[in-house]
Parts: sequence; structure tokens; C-alpha cells
Amino acid sequence: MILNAQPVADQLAAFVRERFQISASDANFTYDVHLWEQSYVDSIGVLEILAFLEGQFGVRIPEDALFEEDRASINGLAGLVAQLSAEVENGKQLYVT
Amino acid sequence: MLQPDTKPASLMVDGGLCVRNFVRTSDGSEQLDLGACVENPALLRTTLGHFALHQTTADGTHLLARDLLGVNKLFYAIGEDGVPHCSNFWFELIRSGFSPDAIWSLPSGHFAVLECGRSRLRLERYASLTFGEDQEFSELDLERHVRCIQNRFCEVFQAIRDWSANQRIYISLSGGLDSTGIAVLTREHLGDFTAVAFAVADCAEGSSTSEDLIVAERVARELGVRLKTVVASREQVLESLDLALLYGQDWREFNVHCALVNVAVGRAIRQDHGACHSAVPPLLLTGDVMNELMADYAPVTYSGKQFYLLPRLSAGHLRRVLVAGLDSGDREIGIMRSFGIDEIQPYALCAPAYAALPGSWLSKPRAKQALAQAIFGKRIPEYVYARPKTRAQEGSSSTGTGTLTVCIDEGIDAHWLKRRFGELFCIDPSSLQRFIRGGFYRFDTSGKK
Repeated sequence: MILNAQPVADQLAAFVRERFQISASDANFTYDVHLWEQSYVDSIGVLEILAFLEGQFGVRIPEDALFEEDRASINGLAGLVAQLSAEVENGKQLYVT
Repeated sequence: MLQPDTKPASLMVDGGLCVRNFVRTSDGSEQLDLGACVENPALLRTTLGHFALHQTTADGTHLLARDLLGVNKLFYAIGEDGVPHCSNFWFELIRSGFSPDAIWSLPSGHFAVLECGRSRLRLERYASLTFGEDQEFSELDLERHVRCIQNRFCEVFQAIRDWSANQRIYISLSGGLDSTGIAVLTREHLGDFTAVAFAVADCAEGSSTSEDLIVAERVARELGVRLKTVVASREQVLESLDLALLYGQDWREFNVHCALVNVAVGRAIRQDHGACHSAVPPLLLTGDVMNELMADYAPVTYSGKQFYLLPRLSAGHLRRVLVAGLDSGDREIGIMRSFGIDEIQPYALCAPAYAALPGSWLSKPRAKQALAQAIFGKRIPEYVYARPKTRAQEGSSSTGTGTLTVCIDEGIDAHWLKRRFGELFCIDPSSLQRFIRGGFYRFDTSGKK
């Protein structure tokens, strides 16, 4: 199933807020904020986010995503998941169970 | 700026790729032709070893390659001459005048091509570990995996024997299961060696009451090998911090605490080996990487605080990220290189066989002990199997004194280590997350295929 980026972003944002205890009143936490540089997520948290995305959406996140700056935000990661789900649909990527 | 007096006097790192490569191709050669590998990546997939290679072809094309787990590190920066300047050590390239932003790592399990006239390397992964999926696992399945691992050990130690001719061999012996396994295999396949055991002094006279040392002594005695005991004072541990940061190439607490142990071990080996006046470098074999392969890590509590936190993942997934995370941190090879010591990690060379075990099986209680008993049997004494997990940086259960406790007692916490690393490398500590992320050293994704 090809995923739409917006619901992915919403689910990811909810996960990040809950897991890393980000206050609902934190105005800096947007879907475009750089999660690593703004220190919302540490090096352990990076791995948990990738694991969440893989488990929740059935895609394998490549290690490249760690250093692609346009993938360092909620929207960036959601876009990647949507792209990868399309590749799964088109048989270009193995489905992650 | 980098402080030259942090290097031990006995070492001159000349730049370039100075860590000795351990290579064994499928046809038994110790030389790897990267030109042939680019044409046929299967050649790299079937090569055993720890390596970070840079070769130049006749037409001026530069080829780089790094081993599957990234045991040997490979950093590069493209000079104004269009040539990649390579080093096993990040600080070497900074000292050569490259800014941190200009320095990249070649990721583990990759090769790279820089054609003449181009400014970016083309990166390609040549192999990945295949991890066993969660599935039912019978005794018969375990026996099959055990045979595979045992066969792999034979192959690995045969290769080590051929590669290490005339080298004096040392084993880092902690009194725990992993290092005892390596000690047993080394005795069988390579013969004599000197065991080295570490502890932090916990007595006023500078000695240690560590149970780990007592067990290590017993293991060494029963194997009929010499044991060198290294008892470091708290001051000696603290004095080694800059070296640990520089050559360990990491600021994260777990890796720094490990590196501090290895600085003491490396120094002791160098002194011991120096006494025999041999020009051939010593070779250290360690039990490193087994904890990653078996996801055998747990947080440690000291002084009311938890250290060495792990991502909250299933055992199988944790294994995958821990093994991938070997890409970064040089707490063993880099530290030993600073003392002119070669190091091989036999468990790393058996990684494919261990990785094939189902992830779900790893979370079974005492899975690691069960696997070791199936592989080693009575060759490892029962008293070693029965021991709780040992880690030199934590200190033994009898003393509670390790490099972690020494650091924390002196206020040398995660923040301090980041700040000091930043000072040594002239990097703003707040930007360090750009250089190690998710367990990887920063690599250039623009050239990725």
C-alpha cells in the first residue's frame, strides 16, 4: 500500500512527542524542525525513530537517511517513508515484516 | 588545536592508512586488488578480514574499501589536487589542514571510486550481514548453527596463523565468557600466548581485589599460559583520557570507558613486548564484538544514575543496530594502534555465522551461555560459564571499581567528554551530533549508489 506522507508525519510526531516527552506548548517543535540539531532526539533516539517507522509502516529505512539533512525532520522522514512504500508497491524494495 | 603531546612518545602516526590490514581472500591471498573488486564485488564479499584500503589504478582512479563491520576505520577528504587524502584517524586529516566538514567516513561494507577529474566519490555497498529473522528454533537448528560457527572459527584461526607468523600473541582476558572463548581457541590453534588482565586499583597500596583478576589468573594457569596483570591507579586512568578520546575517536561514555581500559592494556603490552626487543609488532586478539552480535548489553546503575542506555528495541532489532554501530568508535583497534599493536577480533570475523541466529532466540535467558556451551563445551571451565557478566569498565562485582566509576567520581560525565573532545578537535560540542549519528561516522550520501 502506498502511504501518504501526511498521516505518516502525524503518527511520527505523536511518537516523538510521547517518547521524548516534548511539551505540547513547545512552539519550536514543528514538522520541519531539525530533530537532531535542535536536540529533540539524541543518538539513541535516532535509532528508536527509525525502528518505529520500520515497524509501523513496513519499510526498511536506509542508513543514508541518517545524514540526509532534508530527512532530519518529521516531514522529511515522512516523505521518505512514503517514497519507500511506493518502492515496495512497485517491487523495488523488500517488505519489512 | 590538537595537542601533539597527547600522543605516546613511542608512536609516530605518519598519516595515511597505518592500521595494518588483515586480509584473506577466497583464494588464500593476503592482497586484495580493488580494481578487480570493482568489476566483481563478489570478490570483496568473500574476503575475510579487517581492512581499510586505498589503491590507485594506472589511469589515476582512486579506489577505497572498508571491511563489512567497519572494524578498521577509513576517513578521507578530497584535496585541492583532486586526490582523496585517507587516514585511519580523523585527527590526522584535521592536522593536515582539512576542516571537519570536509572529512567523510567510508561506511562499513562499502567500496568507493573516485575517477580522475571528479570531485566526489561514488559509494557502493558490496555486502550486508544477513540477520536471522524471528522464528521457531529447534535443538537441531542450534546444532547446525553451532557447526557453522565452529567451522568458521577453524577458517578464521587458520588465516590468523598464516598472517601472524613471527608475531608475539597477546589475549585480553577479562575472566568473562567471551575472552575465555578466544583464549581457548588461540591455545588450540596458535599455541602459546600471553594473557593480559585489567583492573582498577581498589586498595591503598595500588593492588586490586577484583574477582575478575582471580578468575583470569585461574584460566591462564589452567591453559598453561603466562598472565600479565595490569592494575591501573585512578590517576593513571584519568591521565589517559585525552589519548582515549583522540585514538578512540569517540566521546560517548561507553566507548571512552572501554578505551581507557584498552589504553592501560596497550601500554602494558607495549612495555612487555619491548622487553623482548622484537621489531615485529605484537598481535592482540580480543573477545570484542560478541556483545553486539548477541545483543548482550544492559544499562549500568552507579551513584543513583543509569549509564549505557540502549534504544528500546526487540533483541533482534537491537542486535542489528548494535552491529551497525560498530561503524563508529575506535576503542580497540585505534587505541592499540597508538601503541603500535596489531589487533584482530575473531568474533567479528565470524559475524555472518552468529548473525544468522534468529533474533527472537537472543532474548531467551542465558542464550549466550547456552550457545557458548554448545560451541566450546568443557574447553571453557564451568566456573566461567557460571559467572555473571563482566565488563572491565564497570569493574567486577567484588570491587565495583572500573573506569566508569573513576570517571563519574571525578565529574567526568557525558557532557565533560563531549566538551573535551570538541576542544581536542576544535569542534563546537553542540555540533558533534553531525559526526556520529545512529552509530555511523558521517558519510557522504551524495555519492551513494
